[in-house]
Amino acid sequence: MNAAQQSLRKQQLNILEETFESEAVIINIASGYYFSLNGAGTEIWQLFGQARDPAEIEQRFSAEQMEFVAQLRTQELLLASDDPAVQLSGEIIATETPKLERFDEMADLLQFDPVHDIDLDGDGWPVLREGFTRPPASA
Amino acid sequence: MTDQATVRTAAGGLAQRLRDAFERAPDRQPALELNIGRATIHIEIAGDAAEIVMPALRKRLGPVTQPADLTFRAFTQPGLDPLGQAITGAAASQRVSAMTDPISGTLSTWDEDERVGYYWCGNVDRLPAWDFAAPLRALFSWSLPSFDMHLIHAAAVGNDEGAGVLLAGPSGRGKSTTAIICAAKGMRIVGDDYVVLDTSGDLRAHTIFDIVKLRPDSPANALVPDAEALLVREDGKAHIQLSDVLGEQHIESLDLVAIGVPKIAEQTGKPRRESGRSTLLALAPSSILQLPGTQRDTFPALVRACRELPAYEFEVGPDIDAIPAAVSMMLT
Repeated sequence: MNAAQQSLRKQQLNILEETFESEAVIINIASGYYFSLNGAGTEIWQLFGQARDPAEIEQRFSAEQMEFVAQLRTQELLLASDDPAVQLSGEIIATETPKLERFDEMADLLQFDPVHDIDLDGDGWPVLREGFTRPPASA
Repeated sequence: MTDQATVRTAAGGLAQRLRDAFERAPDRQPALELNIGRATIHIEIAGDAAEIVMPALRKRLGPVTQPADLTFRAFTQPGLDPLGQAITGAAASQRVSAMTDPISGTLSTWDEDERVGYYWCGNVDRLPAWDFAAPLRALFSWSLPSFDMHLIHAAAVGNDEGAGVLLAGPSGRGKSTTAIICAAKGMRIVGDDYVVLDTSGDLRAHTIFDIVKLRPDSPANALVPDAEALLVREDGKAHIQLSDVLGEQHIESLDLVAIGVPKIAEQTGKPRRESGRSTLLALAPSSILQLPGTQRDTFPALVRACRELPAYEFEVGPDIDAIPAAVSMMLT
């Protein structure tokens, strides 16, 4: 499937999440960033529990909501997927501005990935992830 | 990124090398027993590992009295480099976790089938402060969930009736100050930096490490003036033996009835109800992101705590006499 046909959905591999009273807490265990989403942001986040068509999203979302989707992508919470897109059902009602708050203080501890990136051909110590750059706090 | 099959093979190979090295390690000492909740842990030490393990655990270690549920083997061996050669294959079915820490120069492995973990350190002088205050924490983190227990970054204090408050929040927000002041003023304390959250029935907190850490500017220092700090480590904190300075207030376990999230302020305030979301933000990241193997079991345990226990934010100020009263409000 080429990039133009790929759907968009929640990253599943490195994400822990829980929703309390319609507001989500998300922890990205790979990057060390963790996030808090308000109600409107959580509603959008949960839509991507299924693969969605980026073209349909762009058609049906407001500019504010698209900006939020861009933030989710920048923070690697949404990823391109080869899963077939599921059509959105129902109306997307904007109740408030969707917001994402990122917390950084744990992230510096996660520059190493001890178990996975072991230099098996060298001394066996972890390898700093090449090209690691910190995404901006906002898109 | 290395593929998962290679990682599993690498981890199994590392565990095998540590097993072989431990068998040959000099100065092996008789096993000691540690009981946490329902788990019986045998700890075997060789080389200089006692210097790492004993400060935080010695008061809780005793002679072996029953078979081990879990076995931890800790050793130091300069010149050994278990990672130096290419990893030979291990059984792909082995459920082995491994973690290297290049800052401290240590390697920990846990074999879920054999229920045996290894901790190797090449040079004790390289270890950072937190390795002495919370030794073998990777092994505890990997192994305890099989008993529905979870090593978490939190403090716990309570009353003589056995009811307790879990104190949550990132480092530097007043958990240790709150916990030590409460204990110095007569409340019970389970632990400062780490406790074991027991989710096998009603939520409980168990003791694990005997070290409390105080920043030089903490008002709690005034309440423990006779404490002989083990060492002021490079993290700038005094590491104090809890059992030495507040031994009478120490309690093995508390039944959790609330979560408290302290916040440093100009004056101590009354607790205010906090949302489950904010509480999880305070409680989860420093446990999940600093301890290995927590994603599968410990995160749901923390979620459960945030859903079941009432949570409060409370301000902690230099008026330290007001702090125990504020915490006690959460116990009623």
